[in-house]
Amino acid sequence: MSPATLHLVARAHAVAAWIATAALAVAIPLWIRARRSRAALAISAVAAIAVTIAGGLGVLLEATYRARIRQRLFVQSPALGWLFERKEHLAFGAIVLAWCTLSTMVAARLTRDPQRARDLDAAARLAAIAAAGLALAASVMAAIVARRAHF
Amino acid sequence: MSAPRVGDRLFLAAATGLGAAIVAYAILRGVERAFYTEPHPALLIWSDRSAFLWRAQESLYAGGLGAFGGYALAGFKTRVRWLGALIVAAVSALLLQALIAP
Repeated sequence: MSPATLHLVARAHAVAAWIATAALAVAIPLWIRARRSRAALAISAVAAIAVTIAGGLGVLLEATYRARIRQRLFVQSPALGWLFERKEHLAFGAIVLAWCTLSTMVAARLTRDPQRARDLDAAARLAAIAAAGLALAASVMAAIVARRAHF
Repeated sequence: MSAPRVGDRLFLAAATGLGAAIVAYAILRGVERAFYTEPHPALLIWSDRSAFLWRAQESLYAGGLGAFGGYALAGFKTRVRWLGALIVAAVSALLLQALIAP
């Protein structure tokens, strides 16, 4: 990958991650107010797709990160290096939980049993809050590291 | 309580599998840090494979296995409080792992 393409992908990764974080955060009040509305489902689907695109762009950058940045980052500041490692774990969690939220929401819409739907609503709410929290933490951590080391 | 529909069960199975994948990820990383010695990243010039991507792939595979369990559990005419408990357990395990075994 050429340096110009790398810069572009890194920028797109950051923008997609913040859009996904915002979409996940917007989905929470919508989901709490109008549990099984189409709007809540649509924003959750957008959030899940956005967070997956951000993750996919991150995967594209992974090999270059390992080859050019990881060692330098750990030599400069081990604390920042470990912060970035933590960010990867949380980002993985955010992506998986965004899809878990969407699956649970769809299951809640499909079920005929009101008690079961209530349990699924509660689970979807938990997953949505956790996904937004993890995505926000990962985005902030990445921004902190990006101030010291970038492509 | 009426019998669960196949569509409802399938989405519930997917959600269970995804929750299980996060638990598997946290366990895999915990085991890696506890039982296998890794070179310090500051001393490692380059590695040809990404441990993170391997871990993510393996945990999604484990989550796929968990989805079968989720599908079976979703067939019972009972409440599904266990999904909320699984999500709480998954997030707690991931946060704990990120804190103590990054």
